[in-house]
Amino acid sequence: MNRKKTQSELDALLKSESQQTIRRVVNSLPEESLSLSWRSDLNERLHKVRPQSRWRGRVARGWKPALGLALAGCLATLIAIRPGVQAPQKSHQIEASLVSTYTDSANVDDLIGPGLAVHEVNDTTRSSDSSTQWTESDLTNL
Amino acid sequence: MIFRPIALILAVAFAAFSVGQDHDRDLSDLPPLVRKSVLANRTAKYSGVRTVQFKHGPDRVSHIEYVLKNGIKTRIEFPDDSKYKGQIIVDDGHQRLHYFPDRNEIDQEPAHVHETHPMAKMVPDGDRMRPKLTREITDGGILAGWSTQVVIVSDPHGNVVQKMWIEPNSGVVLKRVLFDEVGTQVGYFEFSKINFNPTFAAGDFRIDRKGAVVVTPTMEANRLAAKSGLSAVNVPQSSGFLLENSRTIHPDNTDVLAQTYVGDTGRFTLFQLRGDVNQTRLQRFAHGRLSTYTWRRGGESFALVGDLSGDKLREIARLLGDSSAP
Repeated sequence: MNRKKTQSELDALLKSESQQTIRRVVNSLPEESLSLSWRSDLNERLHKVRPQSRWRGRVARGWKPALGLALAGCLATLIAIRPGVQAPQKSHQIEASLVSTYTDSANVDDLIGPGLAVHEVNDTTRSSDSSTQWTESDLTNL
Repeated sequence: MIFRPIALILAVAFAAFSVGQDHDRDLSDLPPLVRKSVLANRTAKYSGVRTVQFKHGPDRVSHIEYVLKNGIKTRIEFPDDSKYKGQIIVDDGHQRLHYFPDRNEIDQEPAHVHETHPMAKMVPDGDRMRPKLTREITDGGILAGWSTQVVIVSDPHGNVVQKMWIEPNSGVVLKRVLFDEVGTQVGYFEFSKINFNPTFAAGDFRIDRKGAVVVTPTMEANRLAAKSGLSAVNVPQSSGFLLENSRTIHPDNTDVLAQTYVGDTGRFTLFQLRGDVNQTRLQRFAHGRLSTYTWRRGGESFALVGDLSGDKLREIARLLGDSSAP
């Protein structure tokens, strides 16, 4: 009963002239959406004023150097075991080189006939050392 | 006594027939233009200027050659502005001599006329691994002032393997381009000038330089082996293969001696090094187009790569002392 009365009183108040005036004023105000940059500024300010937890501060002071040391250790370990990891790759290079050496040579030989061969390309100085290295036994093989 | 001359005549006739059979075998199924070109490789006479370019490792190198050809004999010189100026190559069908003036040496190799004609790759042969190829002939336009027909050779999937521009009257190949598996040009030559009525001098196909050291392929191979601290290993001539050339390559900072051998049934390279060679990986890189075989002996690895059958490579390995070769 009491509650009903209060509600009817409130309804009457809301319908009063003063309330209607305020409603009209509020309705006539232009609608504005929140600017994103404003929200961003607000977030940054809130982040700065947020109280830093003591525990986190201690962890950061104590563990950051330890974390750095651990990373450096991992890096050193990786460098140390690197040759072992790369060994198969090196072997791949050998086998690939053998096949490509054969293929290049066969292609060129096939292409040019008696012309300058692949092993003679750039060979204007090959034996600046070799020509003087023939021994007596080499020459007797002629 | 009367049988001796008859036997001699029969022997000569048989030998001539055998040689003819060897060169002309299975050419009958080739188009007339191509057949003419195969024969012209051993009979044509001309002088000319050609540009040669091919892949050398990651690079493409090119140079100009002055070519003089009289049948099976060839002489090659280089222009005055070439870095090979003064070098002379003479191939007389029996041996190829390459004179280096700066070191006064003559490199001696077996003749390079073996299989130099591109169509040789299209002729089936017992021990060799040859793909089946197809060919198409169209107008090739004018090259070095002469009309040409172009022969386009493709694999069964239609990938172009090579193109040859042939002058139809002489059968001479004026231009040739080779392609790899993915269609990249790996080498070519092209004549810019050619004279089909050349004048030859008496000594054009000889190299006679007194005082020059004649370097045989075996000498060079053994010298390179010693320089790399490797043992001297050579395939004996009784195998039917001749050492054509040798060189040292340096993949992955490893000294690898490569000796290339040629014979009537094909060619192979013997690689020798101190490091390891993985047979499975080697065969994988060969893509099934080549045969490979590896073994170790005395702290050294040996690998054979060639267009011969696997059985033939194992036979060669046995000759080189690989007791494990089945």
